[in-house]
Amino acid sequence: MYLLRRKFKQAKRIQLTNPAKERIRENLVHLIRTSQAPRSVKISSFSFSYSFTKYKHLPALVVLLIALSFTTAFAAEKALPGDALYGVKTGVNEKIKEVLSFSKEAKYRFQVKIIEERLWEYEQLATTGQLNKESQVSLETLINLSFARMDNYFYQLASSSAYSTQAQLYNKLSAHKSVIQGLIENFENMENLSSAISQIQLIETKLKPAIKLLGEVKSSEDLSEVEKRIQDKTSKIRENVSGKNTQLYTKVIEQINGQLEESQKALREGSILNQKGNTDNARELLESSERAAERAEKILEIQEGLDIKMHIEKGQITEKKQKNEVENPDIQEEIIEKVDEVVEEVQEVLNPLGI
Amino acid sequence: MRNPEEKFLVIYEKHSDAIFRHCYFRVSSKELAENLTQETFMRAWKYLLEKEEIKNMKALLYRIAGNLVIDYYRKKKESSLENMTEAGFQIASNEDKEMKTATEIRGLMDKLDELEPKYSEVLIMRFIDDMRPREIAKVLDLKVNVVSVRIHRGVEKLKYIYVSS
Repeated sequence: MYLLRRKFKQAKRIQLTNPAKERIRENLVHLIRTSQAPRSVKISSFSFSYSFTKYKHLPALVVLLIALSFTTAFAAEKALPGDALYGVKTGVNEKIKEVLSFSKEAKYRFQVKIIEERLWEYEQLATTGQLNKESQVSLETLINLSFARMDNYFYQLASSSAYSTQAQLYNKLSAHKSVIQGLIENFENMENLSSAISQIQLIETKLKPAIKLLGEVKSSEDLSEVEKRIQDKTSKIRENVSGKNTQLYTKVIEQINGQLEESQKALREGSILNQKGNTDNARELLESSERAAERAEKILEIQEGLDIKMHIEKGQITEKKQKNEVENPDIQEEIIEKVDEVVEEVQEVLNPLGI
Repeated sequence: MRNPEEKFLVIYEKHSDAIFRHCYFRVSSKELAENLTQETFMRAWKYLLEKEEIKNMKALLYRIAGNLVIDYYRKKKESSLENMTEAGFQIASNEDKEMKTATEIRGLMDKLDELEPKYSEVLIMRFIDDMRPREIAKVLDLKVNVVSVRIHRGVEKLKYIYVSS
């Protein structure tokens, strides 16, 4: 029976290819959108018992938490590629946080955060004159790795919030792209940032098939309320934007205004269709309007969050960031190795439990 | 609160691989299994539109898939194990083990094919779809005891087929 079980176990690995799954999903979405769905529906499936033995290896996790409390680990949180503590940030801190994300959904959201963190690092490096080929390659590799993991978790998840997170990530990526484009256009020696744009565009194309299935506007929402929500959001963004006069802000303001115009146009068209009773198409336009408004909001947020101190003279960035000093690099190396070992042991324990 | 469309797509994400696997082991053709998987979910959606309440979605999906397989058997049965290795077929394993895994799985399908459908069906549900006997009983509309007996006899027959080959 053992041999049979082994063969059955191998058989369980068979699954739909991603393209086939996507194709079937698209056909289903088409069917769903062309049919009248009931307002409410009750669906239940088999329940399963929760095992309280899942967390029996907590002591090992406590060790990881203690590792997180090391001063070096905390200091590493703000490190950038090229800094001595960057290895601790990505090799220790982020690894521990990932292991401590117990559910697949938490791990999925964690990878999304990591992608955004890498883009922040791109922007920080560029605005402090530290973005070189080496750090660019390092960031690209890390982003690709996080995206592959995120994509894997996405297909394993059975959660509509995963679709929403994809839509939000799409908006965040668009916002980062706008800021980076602003940096390229406005300052010299920003050629290394072009690869970041290409990478973002590649991720966007992979996200699109997922995000187009679910929008921000629920089918049960009153579209007039949605219109008001979008109008309020865009008004608030305009208020925040007005009065910012620096050279960098001018370029960013242009991008924000571009997104707001796109949002307003879709809002006007959606409103007209809603008044005519064409609610399906109105909903799609309002979704598009809301996303454009969110992109504008995100661009503003990124811009305000960037720690930019520049001498705006002939478009050159002249201030350089001080590198972090590390007193005991040997100890740092030891910490990374020890935490690596513990993380691997804990992962071996958690993997069979499906965590 | 999720709307019906979202709920259904979540269900699709959750069960599509399992339904595909189930169909694949019953019909031995990747393309056909994909078509049957799609048809299963489409019919489930249409059923949902009519009834507005489904107490057991998983059971419904397997029941629809099972009926589609039976319909297929009535028309035509193909045994195309060569489809296992055609481009695009995905086994969730690392590349080093893929060839060995594909061979073993092909062997298993071959042996399951030699069983009577009433046995291969329950074995697939029990050991590949990981369904418990009472879940299988609900899908097939049988008593739990009947399912347990079929599983037991199916395993014995499968062992015999392996030994005698």
